[in-house]
Amino acid sequence: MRKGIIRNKIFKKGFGLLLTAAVVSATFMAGCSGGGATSDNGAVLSDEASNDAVITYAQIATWDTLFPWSKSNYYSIGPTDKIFDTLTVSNIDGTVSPRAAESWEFSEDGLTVTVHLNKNSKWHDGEPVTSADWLWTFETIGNPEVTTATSKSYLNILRGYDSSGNIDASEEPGVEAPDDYTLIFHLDSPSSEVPFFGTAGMYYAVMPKHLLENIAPADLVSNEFFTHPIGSGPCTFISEVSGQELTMGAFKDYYLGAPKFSKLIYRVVASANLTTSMMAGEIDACYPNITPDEAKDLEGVDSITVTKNTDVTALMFVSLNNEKYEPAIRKAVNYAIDKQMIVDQLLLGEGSVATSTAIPGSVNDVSGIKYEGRDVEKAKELLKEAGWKDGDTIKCAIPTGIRERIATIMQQNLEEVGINLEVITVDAATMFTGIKDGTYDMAIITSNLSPNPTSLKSLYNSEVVTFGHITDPYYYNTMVEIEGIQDKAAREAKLKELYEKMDEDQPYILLYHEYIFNITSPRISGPSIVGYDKVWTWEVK
Amino acid sequence: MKQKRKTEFFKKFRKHKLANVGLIIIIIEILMVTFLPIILGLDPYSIDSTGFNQAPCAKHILGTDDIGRDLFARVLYGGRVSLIVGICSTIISIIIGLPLGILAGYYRGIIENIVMRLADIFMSIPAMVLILVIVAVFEPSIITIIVVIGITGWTGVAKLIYGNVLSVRNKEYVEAARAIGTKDREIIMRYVLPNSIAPLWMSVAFRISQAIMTESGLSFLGAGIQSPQASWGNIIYAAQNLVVLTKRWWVWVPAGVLLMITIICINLVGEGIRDALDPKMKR
Amino acid sequence: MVKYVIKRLLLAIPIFIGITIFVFVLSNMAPGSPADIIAASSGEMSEEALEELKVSMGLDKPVVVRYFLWLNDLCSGDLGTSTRTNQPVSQMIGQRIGPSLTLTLTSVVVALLISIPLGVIAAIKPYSFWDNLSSAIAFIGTSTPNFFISLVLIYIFSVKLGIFPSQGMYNSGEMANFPSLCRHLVLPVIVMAIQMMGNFIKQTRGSVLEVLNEEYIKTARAKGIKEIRVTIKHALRNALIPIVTSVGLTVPFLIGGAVITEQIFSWPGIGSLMIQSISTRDYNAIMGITVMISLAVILVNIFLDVLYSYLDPRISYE
Repeated sequence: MRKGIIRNKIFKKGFGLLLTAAVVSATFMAGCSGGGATSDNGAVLSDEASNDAVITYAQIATWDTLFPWSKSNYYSIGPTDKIFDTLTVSNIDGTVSPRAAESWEFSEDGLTVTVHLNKNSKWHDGEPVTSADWLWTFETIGNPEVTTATSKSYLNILRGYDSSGNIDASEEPGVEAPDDYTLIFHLDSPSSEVPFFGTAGMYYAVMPKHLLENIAPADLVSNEFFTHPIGSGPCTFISEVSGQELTMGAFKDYYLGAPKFSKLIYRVVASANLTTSMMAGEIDACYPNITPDEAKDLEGVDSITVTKNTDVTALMFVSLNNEKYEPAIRKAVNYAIDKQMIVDQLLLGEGSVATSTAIPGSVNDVSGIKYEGRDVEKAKELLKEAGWKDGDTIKCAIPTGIRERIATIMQQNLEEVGINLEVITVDAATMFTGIKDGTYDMAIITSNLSPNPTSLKSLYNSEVVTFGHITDPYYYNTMVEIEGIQDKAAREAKLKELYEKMDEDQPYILLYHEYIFNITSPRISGPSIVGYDKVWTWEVK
Repeated sequence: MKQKRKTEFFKKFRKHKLANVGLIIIIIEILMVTFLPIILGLDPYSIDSTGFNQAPCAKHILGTDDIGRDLFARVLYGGRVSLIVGICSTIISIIIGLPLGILAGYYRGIIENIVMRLADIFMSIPAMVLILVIVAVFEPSIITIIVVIGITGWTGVAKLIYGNVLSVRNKEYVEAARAIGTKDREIIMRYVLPNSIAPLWMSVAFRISQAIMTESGLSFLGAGIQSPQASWGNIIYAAQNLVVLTKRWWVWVPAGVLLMITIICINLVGEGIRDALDPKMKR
Repeated sequence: MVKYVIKRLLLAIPIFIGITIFVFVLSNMAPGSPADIIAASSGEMSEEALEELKVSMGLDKPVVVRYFLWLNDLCSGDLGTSTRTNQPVSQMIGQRIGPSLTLTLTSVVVALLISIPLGVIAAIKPYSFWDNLSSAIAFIGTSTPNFFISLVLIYIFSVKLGIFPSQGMYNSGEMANFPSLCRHLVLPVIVMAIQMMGNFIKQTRGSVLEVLNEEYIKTARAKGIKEIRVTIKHALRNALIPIVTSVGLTVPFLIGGAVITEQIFSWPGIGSLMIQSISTRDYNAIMGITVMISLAVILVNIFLDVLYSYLDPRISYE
């Protein structure tokens, strides 16, 4: 009996402890997560939002930081593009519309662009955005000490910047501000509206000079400003759980009109759960865009609106290290891959085999190159000529998703011609890093195409390290030349020449053009495709 | 004496009906995954360019996966991989853990200290976390995964053996052997090992099933066996897409059911072994 | 008592140091230094600039020196800066401790609340319906991959019935509130609890059975005390200690299981941070998280040991 009495005490203590643990946990979590409601950066919050709708945008991978100049992947572009403003915004039909730039003129020779800034643009803290902020932005992106700014590589088209986008002090400055609301850009070679704004413009995100000018450029990227940033875009920063959830509010003073939601939330959702949450009505939009077979499977689901875009397509291509693999090998790979099967079976025909980088059926689709189909014998022959040792390995990096399936198909295809493809699945950022630094030889990359035929120009720049380690300066130079040609026929002829050369040497091995499926909940109207998602124009139910 | 113990064990094991059923199913399974692909000439890698995501039909009795590979072939090959991962990683755990456990328990002193503190270190890092980190550093392949799961399992084996050796080392027959000058090696091999290894046999089955589960979990996180290799884990991984889960049951049901049956059967065999070796624990 | 706690804590120090060495060495075996990674992501960088960056990051020093610098920072609470987000790793972990604790503790409590009664009933009435049911649950829990259970639950409860949300901790844009949290907790907690229950049920059943055969219980029965009272008042109390031990042993598995569960349910905890850090090769974060999780395991084990000796006066502190 004595034993029993002792245990009685133990029992009470034990159970009490358990209960305490549960209560403590409950209190703890309540205390922990209460910080979401207020903005701790003093930004002007929309207190009388016209609509209290909360829009959730799901991504399967996280944005890295809210530093807007290292838009290394689409997962970062989505969120930073809401907080920070750019000069223009691209439309799905390929034209560009005003954003911070209200209007612009190109000089006769195409070398000078005068941009009139929107005078109503304000920072989230209420200060006006002026040309001084823009000047500071361009100077700082080009500062050699700011090392992690990928936006740099889009500055090389300006006078006063070297090929990798650092400021070249020996030249005259490339950007000038004659008054508070005017900017003048000087270009190295002639350009026009779509190539200038449509491609590079997205990477020029303006940042507040008055808050950042005293920070040493080298420390900028890791400054704590980016844990609660103040921009001039349509959404204000509210709170962030890094890598999980980013809450933004509608900026009611946005000069193009305040967004019609009260909050926009970026949430990282496991890819396993993406379509599920969509069907359960928990999310309103998502990135990446869904694949055609998913779109087909989701037909008829009430909670999802699927729209097929044929104006804007995505190009899937293979990047193979040009320094390491000669054209014959790249061509052999091109012949070995069964592209038609990929289009027919994987895309269910919702796309076409790519023979050029132009959107199929668009005005730029002038190549006239026909896809000849898979040719194993030709591939073997080419490899033999190039002295390929049967069974040698190519290291290929891919992110998760449809590319895992493409890679497996390629693995089979290439094995038949004697190439051993070693496939490594990593996240997109690691893949891009790895092919640049030579860890991987091959990657499968996708890019949304714009009607601008030279939108992929930076991928071909042989003066910097590109994904494919392009060595031939022909492509880049030709694209720059094309941007300056005004005459339609001359331009088409040059384009045709470019596409033929690309087909001949295969600097990148093009796989297919894919229609983009825009997927949203019925609560929002307007495209949710990254880069085209003008949140201030969304109608919100 | 040894022989008698063995027959007694088998007699008792045979009485555990469920364990016997489990054992038979596993043997059938092993025979199937080993020989069926060879007999039927199945290829888990070749792509049927005419039909991705095919439902079961005459040509592909379990249909095809999302890039047109025959699922029947993949389930069988996947079974090979999963069973190999389970068995080999358990063997590795034993190869590392058994000698360390015996040394620590028998010699005690410094060796004991080193081994046990090392075990504490390993046990403080949750196995899943450790495996993920190691797989991230050394790209995932069958070998890496087997080795990693094996390595993270050594502590369990070592602690188990260590505890038993401690209780055996002071038994009279060991003292006696030592007194007449028998070499340590012989003492360990003849007296200590046979008398302390029983609980290990009990845990082997559970270890194998745990390893198979771990591999499938890794596959789910994209850190398991990589395509084009098949494993049950990465076949079921396809079911993470809701559409596959609901509309293409043939993709994941066979592999999923086989995985569950295998683990349940291995666990049953484990229970059978335990009951046969240790009558006290009998339910 | 205090002396015992101090002794346990002191013993944990070498283990902790061992873990830090292990984790550091492992991370340094990874291909590509952090500087290479930064250099590659910024495009063009000259050799000198790269060297400069390495110097500024301290990567020019020998590994041993770097280890001690890292350990020194670690001990002062500085886990370094994430190469992905440029935020302090400690801050990133701090944001996620709350959600992780909420999920795991709730799961443990729920698992115990279900397993203990089931285990007790199974022990009183062996081979009954309840006994069979509890062994069935135990079996399924230990033999079904948890991601599989998750997907099935999501399909039934989120998509078909629409009762419970499938991701996150709160609804989007919602302020922290208890009812919403509870609804979001249901599915992930079920998944994690099912996994633990097998073990707990077995443990309860075993120890209650053992106690039921002891003399004093038999005496109590002989005295005519009702069966249920005997079980609850005497047997269960005595069975509690092995259960506490069993909870302690589950901790590392619990955290491992949470990695997958958090990932599927987009739970903003340490587990999903770990997965993100691994997939982006964010080694500072990986090292920091691993060390912190290990530290948590060590501390929980010490706590349970102390609790154990507190509960059972027969265990001496020396």
